[in-house]
Amino acid sequence: MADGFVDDQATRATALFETVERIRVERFSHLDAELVRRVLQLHADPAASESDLARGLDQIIERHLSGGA
Amino acid sequence: MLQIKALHVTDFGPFKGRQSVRLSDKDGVSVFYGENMRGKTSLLNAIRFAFSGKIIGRGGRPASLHKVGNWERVSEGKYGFEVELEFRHDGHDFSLIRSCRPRPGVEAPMGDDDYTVEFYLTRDGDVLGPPQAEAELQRILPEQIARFFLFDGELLQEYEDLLSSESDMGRRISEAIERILGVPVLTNARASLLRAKEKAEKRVALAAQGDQKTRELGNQLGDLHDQREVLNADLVRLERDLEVLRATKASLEEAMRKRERIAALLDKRDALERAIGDLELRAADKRRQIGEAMASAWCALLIAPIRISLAQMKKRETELQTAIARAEVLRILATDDQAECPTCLQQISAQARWRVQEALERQRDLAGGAAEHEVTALRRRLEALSQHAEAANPTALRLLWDSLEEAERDLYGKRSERDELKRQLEDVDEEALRKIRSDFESTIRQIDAVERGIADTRRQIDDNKKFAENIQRRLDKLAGANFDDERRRRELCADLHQLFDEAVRVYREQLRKRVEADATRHFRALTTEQDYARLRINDSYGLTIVHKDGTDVPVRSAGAEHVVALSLIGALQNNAPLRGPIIIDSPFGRLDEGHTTNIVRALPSMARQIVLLVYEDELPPKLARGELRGKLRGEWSLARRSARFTELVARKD
Repeated sequence: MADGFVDDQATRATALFETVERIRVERFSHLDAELVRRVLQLHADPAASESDLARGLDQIIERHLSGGA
Repeated sequence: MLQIKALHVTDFGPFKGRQSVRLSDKDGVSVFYGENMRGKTSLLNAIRFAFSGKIIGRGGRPASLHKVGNWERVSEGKYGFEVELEFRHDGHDFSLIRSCRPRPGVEAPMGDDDYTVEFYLTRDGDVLGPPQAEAELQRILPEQIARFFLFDGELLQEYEDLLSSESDMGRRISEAIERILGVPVLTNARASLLRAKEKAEKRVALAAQGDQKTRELGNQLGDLHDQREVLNADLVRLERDLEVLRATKASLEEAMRKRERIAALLDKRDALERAIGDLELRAADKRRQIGEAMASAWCALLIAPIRISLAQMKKRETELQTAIARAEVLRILATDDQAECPTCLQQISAQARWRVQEALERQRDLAGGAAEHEVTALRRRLEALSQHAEAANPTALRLLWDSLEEAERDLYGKRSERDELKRQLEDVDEEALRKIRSDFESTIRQIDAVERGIADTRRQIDDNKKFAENIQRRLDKLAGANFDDERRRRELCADLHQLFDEAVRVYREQLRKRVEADATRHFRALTTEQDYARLRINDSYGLTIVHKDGTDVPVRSAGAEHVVALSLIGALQNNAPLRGPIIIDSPFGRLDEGHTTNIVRALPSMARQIVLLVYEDELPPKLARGELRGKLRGEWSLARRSARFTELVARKD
């Protein structure tokens, strides 16, 4: 690994997750961590269309409200 | 991590037939040496074409596909070209083939419309269907961020625009930077959650409409949501329009910048035309004045006798005036009994009066009308001669001539300059340039109108939200626990939206700090100026050089701009979720040996795979080998076989 590189996509994506998680813990602790992680994961796909995202988000929220996750 | 393993080009630009290059799978730098017109830019374009189907020509404009096919092949009646890329991404092996072929039935293509472009993508040997292949390529190297992987000096120069908040090019680059850094993951999540929140609010309104007690409020809320949907749709449309207009403005700005020199020459020519017009008027006026002056110029030849005559006549005039005055005094003394001597003021005696009368008799002629007559005639002659003497002013005439000659000299100089400019501008399409300027002004006006429309729509949406929130509060009080499920959904979406809104702000700030720190690290390794301490980032990711005394370095050279841009690219590579090779065309052209050495030395720390397309004067092989040592993974030459045929040859020297 070359100096100064953050090694891979997963590590970089982790930085994004960590930022969101920190804000969740500090200001939105009533929100479920897994729910937030799923929302973020859904939007991490650069090839997803707007309708894919809307549908995916509906499913995540629905599942959460029905006690699925 | 994207890593290119091999490139195969067929009849692409000067690369006749199928030619292949296999790159090392180890981290490091590969160098392709080629003199001008051998095909360095074509190689960069071949990779760009493989990923996006596009080819960029001079000035960043899309190039014609029709002109890309190898010319020798075209002369043999074979049209079209193909690029195949083998690469590895996230643990998978890909093969991407993109070809440009004449459409069925077209034997001799005349333009781009006569071609069809197709591509095939395989992942680990499996062919992907078109939608899947498109999506996969979008994940691997989205077109919007390709500029950070495939670029040349010209593209680097555009990074200066990031320092200007007004520049549309800067805004576009800034958006691309955020894209490569992964900000859209958060902004897209925020946008989806806003839509989900509004949908949840609408569900609450619908639920309220179904209950007698809350129907009225539900109806009002429903109406407000319907209005907001229309306003949101308007806003989306306006924002898209604005994006298109800004892109148009940026390309017009770029077109004007490319034609800056031509525009300056045209302005200079127009200014010269105006100055020539003024000078022609001035010269004509001088000629008229000289013409008038020349009518009496003959007087100048007689100026000496005229002056003598004038002097004599003035003397005579004085004599006559004295005599006339004296005669008048004597006449008074002779006729007035009570007269006093004007000198001694004594009463004139009879004897004295008699002597005066005698004297008067003697001067009869002089004192009479003859003297008066002579004075009048003399004065007429004096006036006439004086006019001739004035008209005979050779100095004034000389000044007029000098002034005319000066105007004509100026005219000659300016006409020569204008004619030279006209020669330089012979092939310039002035109409096109004027059109660019007028389109630019018209685009600015349209942007202004759309921006006002957006501001107005946003204001209406804000008002709408305030009304809706107010009604929502009243509804919550009235409904009690009736709509708890819908309320939970609405609150969940609202909280998630707020969380991601905050995350966008925090993440952007973190990124700016990280990019600033990494860019500074690269910059300090690249610059030869030890007094430059660091780089400071602005909100648009523009970087300013900061001197060690803490002051900003206000103006930087093209070379310094280049170094700053490379530092930014290195920093983006360090921080982006998407990583790939850096492929640079002629990156050292503007740099001195010190900077070139520093950059070559630092390249391996900027990306794992670097491909340099250079000419030998720009990067001498000895320097590359000395600085890169174990990180130099391969060297190739773009060898000339003919003006239209270049061969890729591995270097063995």
